[in-house]
Amino acid sequence: MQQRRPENAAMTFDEVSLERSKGFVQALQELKNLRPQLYSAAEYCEKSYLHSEQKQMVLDNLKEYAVRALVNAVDHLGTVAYKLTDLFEQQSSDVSTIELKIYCLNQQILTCQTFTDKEGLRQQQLFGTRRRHRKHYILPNVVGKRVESSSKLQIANNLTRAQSKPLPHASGNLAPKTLSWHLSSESNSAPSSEPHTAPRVEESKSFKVTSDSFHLLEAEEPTAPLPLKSHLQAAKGHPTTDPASCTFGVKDPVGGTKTLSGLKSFENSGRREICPPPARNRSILSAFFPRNKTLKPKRVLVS
Amino acid sequence: MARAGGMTNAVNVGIAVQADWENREFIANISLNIRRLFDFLLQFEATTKGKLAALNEKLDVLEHRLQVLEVQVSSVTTNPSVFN
Repeated sequence: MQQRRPENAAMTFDEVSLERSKGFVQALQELKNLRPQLYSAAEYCEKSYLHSEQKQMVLDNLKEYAVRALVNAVDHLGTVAYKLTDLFEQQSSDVSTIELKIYCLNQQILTCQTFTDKEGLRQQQLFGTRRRHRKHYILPNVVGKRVESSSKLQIANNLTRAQSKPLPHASGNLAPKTLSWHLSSESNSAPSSEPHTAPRVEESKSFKVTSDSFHLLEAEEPTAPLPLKSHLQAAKGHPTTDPASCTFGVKDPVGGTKTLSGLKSFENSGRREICPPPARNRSILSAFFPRNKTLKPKRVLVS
Repeated sequence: MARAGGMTNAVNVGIAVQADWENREFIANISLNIRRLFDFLLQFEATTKGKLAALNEKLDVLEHRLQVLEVQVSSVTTNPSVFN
């Protein structure tokens, strides 16, 4: 029943529009039919006035007929105009209804688009929150892990590069999240070891580094890790490699106790050779904070 | 007798002239009304043309919008994975 009702409603709507259009067409047809009627009436009056003897009566009849014909024509024209205006108003109301429906559809699609855009942005932001740190900048998890030889190579290369390239950061304040900051935060409690001791990579926990004297370059290029031997040789003062100078730009320490004792040997080394880019495997700090189990304590004299 | 005839002729002429004037007035009224009807028809035609042109333009705009909506909906239906 409910399905029939809208069908009937649709039929009635169509019927109404059909009836309106039919009425307009009919009125127009009747207006068109007035023309031959008026022509025939004019011919009859002309003949009767010419052939009849009572011309005054014909004239009077003609006057009356003319008035009636004119009124009839005006009436028909008014009917046609009214029906045409009614039809036009109906069509314009239908068009405005369709326009509203189209606006609704457009608004719905716009809503869907904005929703999808927002969802996509949100997902992108979620993905964007994942910060990918380079491995050699990841600090706490790496401390105490086994030091691999590749990481030391990386340190050596970074040290040489640091001294060859200009420092992008003037001070640690511009990059608070750099390695120096992390190091300073990590090693607050640990007092600095003897400044003149040999670089003990395995005893890195005793180092105390401040952000003022220790600046790090962001290692954008992958560096190949140096073997332990080369690192130790550099610490001894051999001019083969200078791993500490690859990545670290070391300033002259204001307070000698507060600098890396191990790096003094690097500073004092005369030759600084550019190391080949080693493969990046471990963080730099893993070289400074290796596991005590794996490495044996070694003392290297600094000349 | 001649005066009477003349008088009657003058009266007849007067009546004829009066009738003529009445006829002319009638004809003038009829023609005036027909001209007013003609002016009404012209005005009606101009307004109807303007209204129909505006309606036509509105319909064209709606048709274009419908085409755009149709394209958007078709793109959505062809790529439903975007909205999943």
